[in-house]
Amino acid sequence: MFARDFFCKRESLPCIREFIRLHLSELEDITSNQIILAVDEVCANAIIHGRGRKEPFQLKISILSIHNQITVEITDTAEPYPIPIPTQTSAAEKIKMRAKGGLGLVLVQKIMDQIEIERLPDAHIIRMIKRI
Amino acid sequence: MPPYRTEVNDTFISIFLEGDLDANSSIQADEQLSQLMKSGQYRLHFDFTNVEYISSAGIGVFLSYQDEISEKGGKMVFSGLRPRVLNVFQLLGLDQLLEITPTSIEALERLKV
Repeated sequence: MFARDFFCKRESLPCIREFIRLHLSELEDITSNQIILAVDEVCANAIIHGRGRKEPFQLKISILSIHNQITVEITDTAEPYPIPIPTQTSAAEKIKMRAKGGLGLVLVQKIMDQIEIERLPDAHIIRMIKRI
Repeated sequence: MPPYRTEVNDTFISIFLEGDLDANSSIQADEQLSQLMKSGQYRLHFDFTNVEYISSAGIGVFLSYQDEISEKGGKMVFSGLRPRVLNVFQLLGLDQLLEITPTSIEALERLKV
């Protein structure tokens, strides 16, 4: 397992993607990009909606690749914040609504095989599994 | 980050996007697109040849203007998407809703009046 801490700010997103990319080098490009995207979306959600108990708060990301299964765990220490449930709103409806957001967790759900959300008193843990 | 390079043609504008379009960098794309809309530019070609990565934040920028552009009789055409970038559009079914062409030449053909 590989793990690393990142400052929870928008500017960290390229470093987070690079960290994941380094550990998925054996996968084909599209699959690797999908997992990177799912991690990026969850982290962006925490960065945009989370407020730290102490600023800036941190994101801990760990990645484990074993038996054709990739597990990524993202832990943030932000104050409780809403983790939106992906809606059934289609992209066509989003266009009509002229909405900029709301598709990130839809993508996560489409990409990953399993998503678990744990809300602890002082942290959120989002665990995502992709079977290859 | 400087604004993306643009090329003004008779009937449309080409915007040459670069790098990653994520929750951070897409803010700039949004500002630039907003300026184009304010100046009445509704026929737009987005060249993705140098775009390495896109997240929902990047895609959201384009989606949020699509309806207004259609309403004004305009058009957005996207070209040069790498397979991994195109795949993100496909995951959301956007390859069926937006005009996406493999090359710039095809995109420009679609934008000629």
